Amino acid sequence: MGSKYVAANVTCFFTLHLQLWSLSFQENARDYCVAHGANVVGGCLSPTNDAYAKPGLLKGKHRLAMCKMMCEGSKWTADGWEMSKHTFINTVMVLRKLDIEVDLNVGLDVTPMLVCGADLLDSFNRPGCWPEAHMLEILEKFGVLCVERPGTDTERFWTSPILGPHKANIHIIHQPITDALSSTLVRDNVKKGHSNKYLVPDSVIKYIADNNLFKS
Amino acid sequence: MASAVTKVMPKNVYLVQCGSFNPIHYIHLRNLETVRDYCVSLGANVVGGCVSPANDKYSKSGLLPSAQRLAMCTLAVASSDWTAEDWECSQPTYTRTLIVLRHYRQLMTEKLGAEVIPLLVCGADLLDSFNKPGCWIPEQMEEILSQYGVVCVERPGTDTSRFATYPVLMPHMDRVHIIPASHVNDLSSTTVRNLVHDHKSVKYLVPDSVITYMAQNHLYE
Repeated sequence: MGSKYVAANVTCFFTLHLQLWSLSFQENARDYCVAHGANVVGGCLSPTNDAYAKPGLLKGKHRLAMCKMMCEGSKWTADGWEMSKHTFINTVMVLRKLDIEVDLNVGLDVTPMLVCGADLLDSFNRPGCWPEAHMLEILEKFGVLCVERPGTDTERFWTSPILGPHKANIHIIHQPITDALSSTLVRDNVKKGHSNKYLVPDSVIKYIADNNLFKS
Repeated sequence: MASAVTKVMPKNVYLVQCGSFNPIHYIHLRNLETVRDYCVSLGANVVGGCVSPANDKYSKSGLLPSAQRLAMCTLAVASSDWTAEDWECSQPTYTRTLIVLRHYRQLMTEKLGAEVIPLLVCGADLLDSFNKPGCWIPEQMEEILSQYGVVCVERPGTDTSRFATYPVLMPHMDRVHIIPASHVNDLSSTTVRNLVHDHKSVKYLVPDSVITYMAQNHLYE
């Protein structure tokens, strides 16, 4: 499998997946790669640019700060490149940037792979969601580590005209646990004054409180 | 689960989560949080709560010595208001749940200077065991259900509607609280042990300090 760098796509995720468990995707993905003989040189969370207009999207500086907190104590890092630009950055551009950067840093030919939940990969099947050329590049040049999620049947992928032909480059990662933790829950807990402890790191709980996030 | 029964929630409660904790994991910790929020929503003052690892004499194969299970529990609760209590596992013999609850009732009532009622925090399997002949001493079940209370956090795949039909539980549904888990998650100690055994990551499933402890002591390998 060669040398890999696992990049978690948080483009569509980050508003939604603030929680501890998203990093468990990365862990599962790494275990999978290692089991298949890969050298995983590292990995990152890449929060999306503010220009990705999704309702309720927090300011990038908050999201990046919380990503960094989530990565503390792990081998993963928070990459602020995507967020630092003045325009929406397509996922494929993040992978291209990492492709060059990681090779230089590590001195090896490293392939960035996209880590995402099955629900995100399913969106490849939605017409108009992704530019076709981008999907092809992600699927052919990089590869996807797709973590199973409750509610998405990954068997359907193989009959999809977009995904089916690229089965060899799509790795379905089975999670050892079923976890449907949602950011909606985390935000609702904040609104109701309920505990988020053990759903997100303590430092993130404090940050949310200190910055009055998700109150309304 | 909709219930026509008005729930009895004492004024001052102390949460007691009994279990093997072989090892403790995030859902155990999460349960205490969920139960506290529930009790507060019903007007209770939650004076505290603990995880109480089972005595070694509670023979279950693969059960690590209580000293180790307790150490991991202690590490796991370090950043919270919860405690890991050794009273149950330091008794010379297997200690029945009611005895554990009576102990904490006395202790916490003395501490607060007002009556504190311990609530047993458990999973559906414990409530199921109430219906199994020989599992519990009937008088003790009665006392737990009439003098204390049980809060059961639902897990995926459990149909909890059956509890209201169990003869021993039926008269006491006012003190049997069945609350939904905050989210669908089937993490279990068995999964954690299997992952450790397979050299897979358990990060984000158990606290880092527990991971370190397991590695240093070569547990579950």
